[in-house]
Amino acid sequence: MIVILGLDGLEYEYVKEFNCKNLMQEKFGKTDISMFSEPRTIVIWSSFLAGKNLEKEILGKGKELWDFSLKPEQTFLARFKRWKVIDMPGLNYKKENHQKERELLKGFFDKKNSVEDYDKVAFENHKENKKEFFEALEKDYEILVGYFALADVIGHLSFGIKPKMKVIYKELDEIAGKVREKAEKVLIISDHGMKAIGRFGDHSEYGFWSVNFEVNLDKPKITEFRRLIESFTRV
Amino acid sequence: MGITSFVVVGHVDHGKSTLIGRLLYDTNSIPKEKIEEIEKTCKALGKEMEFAYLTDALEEERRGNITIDTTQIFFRHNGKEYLIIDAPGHKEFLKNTVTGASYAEHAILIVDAEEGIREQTKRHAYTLKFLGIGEVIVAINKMDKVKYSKEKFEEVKKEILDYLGAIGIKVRKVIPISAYYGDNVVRKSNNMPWYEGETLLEALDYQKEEEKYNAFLMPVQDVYSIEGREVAVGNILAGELRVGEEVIIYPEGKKGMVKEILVGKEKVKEAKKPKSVGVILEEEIEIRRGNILAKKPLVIANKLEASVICLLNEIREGYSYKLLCATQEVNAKVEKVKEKIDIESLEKVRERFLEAGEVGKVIFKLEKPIAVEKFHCIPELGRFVIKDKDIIIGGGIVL
Repeated sequence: MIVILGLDGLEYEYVKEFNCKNLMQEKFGKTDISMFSEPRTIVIWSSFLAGKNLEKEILGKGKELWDFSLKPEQTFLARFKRWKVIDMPGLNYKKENHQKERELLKGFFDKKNSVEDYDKVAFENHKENKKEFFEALEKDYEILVGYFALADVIGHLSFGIKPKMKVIYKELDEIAGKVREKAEKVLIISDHGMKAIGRFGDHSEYGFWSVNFEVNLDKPKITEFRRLIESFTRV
Repeated sequence: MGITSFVVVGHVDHGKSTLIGRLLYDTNSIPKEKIEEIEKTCKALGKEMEFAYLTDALEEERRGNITIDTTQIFFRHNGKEYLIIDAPGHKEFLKNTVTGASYAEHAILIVDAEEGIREQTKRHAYTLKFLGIGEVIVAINKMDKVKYSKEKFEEVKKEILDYLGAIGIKVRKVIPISAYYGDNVVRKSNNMPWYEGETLLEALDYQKEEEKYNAFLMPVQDVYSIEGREVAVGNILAGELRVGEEVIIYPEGKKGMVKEILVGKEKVKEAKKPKSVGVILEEEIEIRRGNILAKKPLVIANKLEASVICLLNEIREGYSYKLLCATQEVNAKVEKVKEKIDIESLEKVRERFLEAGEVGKVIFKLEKPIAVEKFHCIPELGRFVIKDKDIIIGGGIVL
């Protein structure tokens, strides 16, 4: 099985600093997202799936950005028969779950709710995805794509609190460890990283990638991965 | 009693960070709200609180205050003050110690009860020996993982005592602990009724009196002439000085009577460590930067045997370097590199030089005598840095 872990907001520097051995696989580094005018989550993940820069198309639609979604045949999934994708922005994003997170994020700055209220929803959504993901990992898929927003969501209000973020990164590292035991090929990728602004966090100008196999990539563009993933289907 | 400084060394996975975190937690050294936020996050993700997270929390605190050196962690308990010297690796520890960035009075060697001695345990123990720290407290950690078994404790204890004995390190205490659950760290454990000894923190309260130098000692940093009188200024490293007392001026060994002591512009009758003072003598004795004023005899040496670490370029037999010890500065020729030690394998080899990152025992021939002491008696007179063309290329500890 090929597994792609899409870890929103995973920061390269924290992965290294917290010594997340499972996230740092045999090969790892930063991705190049300089082709985008801003590190927008929906734009980057959609472009990753499609293997091309979709910024103009998404921004040009003029409607709610989060409503944008590709058809599976427009992505690398077209090359696979048995696939499963969990909660991926630009494909089958769980809009309601993440809408709630965004409301509470705004509510925090409007002094309507606490960090704790916000974190609580993020943890619930994470647990839901984790359960679904590990159930799928036991099944016979050719490719499984699991999306986890934990590092990004918690990071927005707590990225500057390093010990708290270390707990989050350890959780993601444990998930990666379990995946590596099961899957033949593993790609771990983030849309962007994060930088601290006081206790808060904002998107950084690069992402993270790692694979458990030999590959000749230095600082790959996020759109280059489609070709790599499709190459696994060639005999 | 002053600050009790100690270093925790041992294999990377044997629980050093957890132990430091536990010490800070059980001594209430980290703000409660910070701990609570970490605890809640752990709970939400179904994880147990790891005390290693607390060292990060403390780092955060420090960054906010910018008061403490990043290699040192300070805490208080029951009115006593403690300083943990953080040793990320044996090389950093060596470097920090010989260059004076940190000094640990006590050493805790941590060993996993399940795994026993590992290669890194040996390397760290040897590093302590190399630095002249001849006595350690051994903490046998993760006792919870061996069901608090006395038999397992005795087995690992024997193994470590045999090894440390073989390399000449004395063991003051061997304490069974679980840093994760807090057994015998700050609080006495109920899980090991068979152990009746001290907790780790209690064991640190022991004061090593045997060879401490407590008499007045002051390296002269500068000499000023004020209204025709020579004022020797410096920082008192040990003991106290009173007007009317006799001091010896090293390395010459001349004696003089203290006429006045100045703290700033103010005349005082006495001053003690760690004050910076000016000293005026009755006699007209020439004093210069690099002299040491002391009340008790010091060792005067024109030859030094030392544990040396090379940090840059190389230190080679037959070559001369500048050696700086406290405020003393002297040309020193490397007479012999007695042995070079591979810090990874602990193998000793005979080479004529040390390269960057290497350690060894070196004999220096000094151009003129200087006052020195063993490192554990007076650290400031027991360590030195080595310069080549005004660049620091290494450092050492007097053996």
